[in-house]
Amino acid sequence: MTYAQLMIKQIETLPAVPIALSRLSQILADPDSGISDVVEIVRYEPGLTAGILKLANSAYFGAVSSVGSIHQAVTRLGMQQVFRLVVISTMHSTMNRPLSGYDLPPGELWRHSVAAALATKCLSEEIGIVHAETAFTAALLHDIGKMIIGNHLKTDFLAIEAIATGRQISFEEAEREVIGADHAQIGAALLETWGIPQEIVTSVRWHHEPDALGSASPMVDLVHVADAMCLSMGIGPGRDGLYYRPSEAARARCSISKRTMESVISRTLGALSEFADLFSLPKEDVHHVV
Amino acid sequence: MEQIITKTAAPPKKNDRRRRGNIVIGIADMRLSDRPGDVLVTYSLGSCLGVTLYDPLAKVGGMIHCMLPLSKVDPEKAERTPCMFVDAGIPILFRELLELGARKNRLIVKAAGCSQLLDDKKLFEIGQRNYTVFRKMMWKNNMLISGEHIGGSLSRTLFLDIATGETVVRIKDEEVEL
Repeated sequence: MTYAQLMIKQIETLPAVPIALSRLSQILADPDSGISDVVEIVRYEPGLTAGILKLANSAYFGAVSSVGSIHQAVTRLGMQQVFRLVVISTMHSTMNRPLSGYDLPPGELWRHSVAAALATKCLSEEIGIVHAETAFTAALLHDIGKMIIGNHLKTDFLAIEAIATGRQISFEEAEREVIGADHAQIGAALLETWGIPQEIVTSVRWHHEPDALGSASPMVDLVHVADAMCLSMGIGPGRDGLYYRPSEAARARCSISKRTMESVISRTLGALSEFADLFSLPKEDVHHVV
Repeated sequence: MEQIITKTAAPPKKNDRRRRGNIVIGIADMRLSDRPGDVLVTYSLGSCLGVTLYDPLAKVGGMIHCMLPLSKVDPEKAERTPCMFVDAGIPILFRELLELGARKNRLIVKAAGCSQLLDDKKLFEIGQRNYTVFRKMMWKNNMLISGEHIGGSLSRTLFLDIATGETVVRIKDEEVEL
C-alpha cells in the first residue's frame, strides 16, 4: 500500500463515494454489460436523470433534436459520454466548494477542472490518439486530491508555499516534502477506492509527472499539458501560482506544436463560457469574497 | 463588438480594508471608465498581459486582459474577441479611450502579468511572448511604459482607480503601486 493509499484509508470523513459513479465504473469494465444496465443505474436517481437530460439536450453536447428519456440519452450519447455526464453531475457540487488552503474561492477548483477537461478534449481531438470522452473525464478529476489535502488533512500550506517559492520547485514537490504525498497521489488513491476506471486513475496519478510513468501514456501527457495550459492562462492558480513544471517530453510525445497549443487555448476559453451557462460556473469577480 | 463602457453596480465601499474593484475585466476583455468612483480590476493574471491606460487630465482610463500574443493563431476568434490577443486588443483600447476624451500624449501606460511556469525548456513562452509583442507595439508608437510588474511565477490582480489613476498590483495579500 502506498503512503497516499494509507492516508486515504485513515481519513474518517472521506467524501462519500457517489454510488452511481462507482456502479457505472463497474459496468464500463464489464464487457457483457450494455445500455440497459446504465439506464437501470441512472433512472432511480432523479437529480442525475435531470442533469443528464439537461446536458444531453445542450448545444455543447451537440444536441440536434430533443432527447426526452434517459434511455434515449444513453443510446444517443454512448456509454463513455454518459459516464462523463455522470461525473459532471455527481462531482459538480463537491468540487464547487472553496478551498481556502489552496487559496481557491468557491467554484474555482471546478472552473479549473472544467477548463482542463475542455482543453484535454480539444487536444485529443486535434491529435487523435486517445479517447476524447475518457480524457475529458480524467482531466475533470485530475485535481480531486486537492479537495482531500485542503478539506480533510491538517495541512501546513504556508510551509508548502515557502518551500516552493524559496527553492523555486513545483508546488506538488513541496507537498510531498511537507505532507509525504502530493495531490496527484492522494487523488488517485481516492478514485481507486471509488472504483473509477484504471485509465482515469493513472492519468490523475501521473498528471504532474508524465515522464515518471513506466511506459508513457498519451492520456496522461494530454492531461498534463492541458493542466499546465489552464494554469498558465490564469484559470485556477491559487496558492500554487505558476509553480508547475511542464514536461517538454510530454508535449513532444504527443506532437503538440506551440501553435496548436495557442489555438487550443483560444478555443478552450470559448468552450468554457458555453459550459458556464450550463453549470453556473463562477464569474471571475468571485475573488471579491476571498 | 459589445459595448465597452459598462453600467456598473455600487462603487467600492469606503472603510473596507481590502482593495476592491467594481468593474471586473474578464479574460480576453476590456473596459473603460470616466467615472471617478470606479475602480477597474482584473484577476488571475498568469501568463496573460494586463494593461492600463490613464489620462490624468481627462480622468479617463481603461484596462485590458489579453491572453495570447498574436491574432494570426485564430483569425476567426480575433474577429469576435479581439481583446484575447495583444496585437489586436491593445490598439482598440487606445482607440476607444481616445474617443472617450483622452489624448495620446497624456496617456500613462502600465502593465502587469506575463508570468511563466517553471519552464526551463521554454515549452510555454506565452508570458514572455505577450510581453515582447506589447513592448514592440509601444516602441513603434513612441509610447513609454511608466510602470510594470512582469514575469516570475506569480498570479497577479491589477487595479486602476479612475479618480486618481492609482495603478496597483496585488500578489496574494501584498500590494505594489506601479
